[in-house]
Amino acid sequence: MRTLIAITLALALSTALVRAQTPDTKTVDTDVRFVAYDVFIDAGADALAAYQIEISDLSGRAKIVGVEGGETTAFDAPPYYDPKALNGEGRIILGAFTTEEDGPTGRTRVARLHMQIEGEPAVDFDVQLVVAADSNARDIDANVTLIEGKQ
Amino acid sequence: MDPKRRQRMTRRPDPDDSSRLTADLHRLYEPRGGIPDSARDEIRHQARTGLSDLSRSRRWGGLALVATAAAIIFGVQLVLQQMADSTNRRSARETTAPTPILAQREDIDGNGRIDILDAFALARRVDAASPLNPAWDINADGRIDRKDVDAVAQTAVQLNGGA
Repeated sequence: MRTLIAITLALALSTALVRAQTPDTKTVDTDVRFVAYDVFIDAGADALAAYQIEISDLSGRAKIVGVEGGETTAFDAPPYYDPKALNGEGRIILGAFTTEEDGPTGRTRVARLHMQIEGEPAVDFDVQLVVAADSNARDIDANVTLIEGKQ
Repeated sequence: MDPKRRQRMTRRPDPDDSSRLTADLHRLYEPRGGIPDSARDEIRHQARTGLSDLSRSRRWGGLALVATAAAIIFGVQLVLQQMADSTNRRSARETTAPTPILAQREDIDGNGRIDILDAFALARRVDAASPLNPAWDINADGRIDRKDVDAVAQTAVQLNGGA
């Protein structure tokens, strides 16, 4: 009986030690805020007719909660995205195109993301331009940026 | 029956006979020379010490057993934890890595991958009423229209596929 108790205690102790060694990835942080991030694409002199970008949260503290369109009529509708991205995936692929109008040139806000962020203010994102094209579906050189905007 | 024999059988035990028998037995079995008190004390002392040592060694043995069991359990849990972490990392990498999609109907421009330009290409052809490949009826409703464009675009932005 005594040995059984001792083994049970040892088991509990070793479990506690393992848990203490494992970093807790579910740290509860009550500091939650909502931030809007504007997605800009700078197509230079070319007219932007289609784009696809991928945004990943590297900090693991941002959750995408909403997607809006951009500022120009060509991209004012919300872009295509996978609804699963709003389930805390920390990653989203956005895509949009226009066939009706001449695409915008220069730097244009093409979308806005609403995010729920936990913890410290600094959040690190990886933003990749998958493709950008003009109205003839030709690839164009473009830069994509993600800038914290107003909620 | 013989009267003498009957007398022997019915005779009550004499107390004097019992004490004599006891004395005789003592004489018979008493150790010769006897054991000195000092030797008796020493034997008792050594017996007590020996029992104490035995009890202590048993206690330490039990502790060593528990410590060994704890160490083994701890080691096994650590190994299992590392295996789980490794699996999670591998799973995360596999989820993040883009999956090449080849020769699918959504690859409208036929460049071997599905991205927003496939939807763009199909949309331009639908708008321009250009000849359309029946294979582009993505949603299989018998018509090639904007819904098929949306289906291609939706495939392009899927998190577990697309570009």
